[in-house]
Amino acid sequence: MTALLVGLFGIAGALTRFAVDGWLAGFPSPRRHWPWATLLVNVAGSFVIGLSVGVTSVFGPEWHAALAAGFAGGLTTFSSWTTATVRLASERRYVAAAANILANLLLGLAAAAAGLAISGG
Amino acid sequence: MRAPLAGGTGTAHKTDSGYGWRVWTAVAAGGLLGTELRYMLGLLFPDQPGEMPWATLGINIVGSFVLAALTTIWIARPQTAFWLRAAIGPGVLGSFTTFSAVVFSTDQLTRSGLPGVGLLYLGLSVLLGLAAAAAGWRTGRVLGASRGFGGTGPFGGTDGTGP
Repeated sequence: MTALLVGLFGIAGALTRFAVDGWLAGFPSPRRHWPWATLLVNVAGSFVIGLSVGVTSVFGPEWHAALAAGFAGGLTTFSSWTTATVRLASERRYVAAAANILANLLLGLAAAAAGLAISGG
Repeated sequence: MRAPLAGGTGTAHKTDSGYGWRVWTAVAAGGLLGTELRYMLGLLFPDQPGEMPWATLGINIVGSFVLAALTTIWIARPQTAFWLRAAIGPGVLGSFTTFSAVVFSTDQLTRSGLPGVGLLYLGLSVLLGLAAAAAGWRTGRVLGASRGFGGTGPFGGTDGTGP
């Protein structure tokens, strides 16, 4: 039952991430590519995993797993983040690469803490 | 009647962002597979209190290597079907690897009085993840070049782009 919920929420997370990626790619921009979509989903997912802590006491542990391992896990991505960073470095855009690392880490940690604070964890 | 869209069913499966139903289905199927793989590995190798989440660390390292390798292979082979790339990249690997669990575990380790373990975990995730992606990036380049696509490989420097 929990594995099924986690899977369904994982699908929702993956589709949301893919939709955000396509949506942001649709904006015409004079600037060179920077992985804004990955930053957005990683920060949003970090907020959700913080929030999910409060779900256990209300709805039970299976819904916590669905939100944390399923939705937040499916929404956020580590591999796109590292691959995009390596890609920026391969184009000698070292400042953009470093900014990508720092922005995801700092905003992600802050979002998780904010979600946790709201959920009363 | 409308002309049938790609996929040939005759109904409007095309969505606002422009992907066909085949691509969305591929991402959903890949997302299910990647999420379940990660979840099962988490059950097999559960996090121990006060210790680094080793399963997540391994997942993120492996996923970074594979995605970076596939990215450079696909740059060399752009004819690979888009739905297949979507299923494996954003689908399986995007869902298999996770960012939220990394920052959350770092936060929790720090709060439980183990900021050193938390910082070490975060540092290892970033350094090993980037190293794996860099290794995958190079591996994919060599593999892509060795199959005869493009002239930037170690033996294909006739176009003058080589070092």
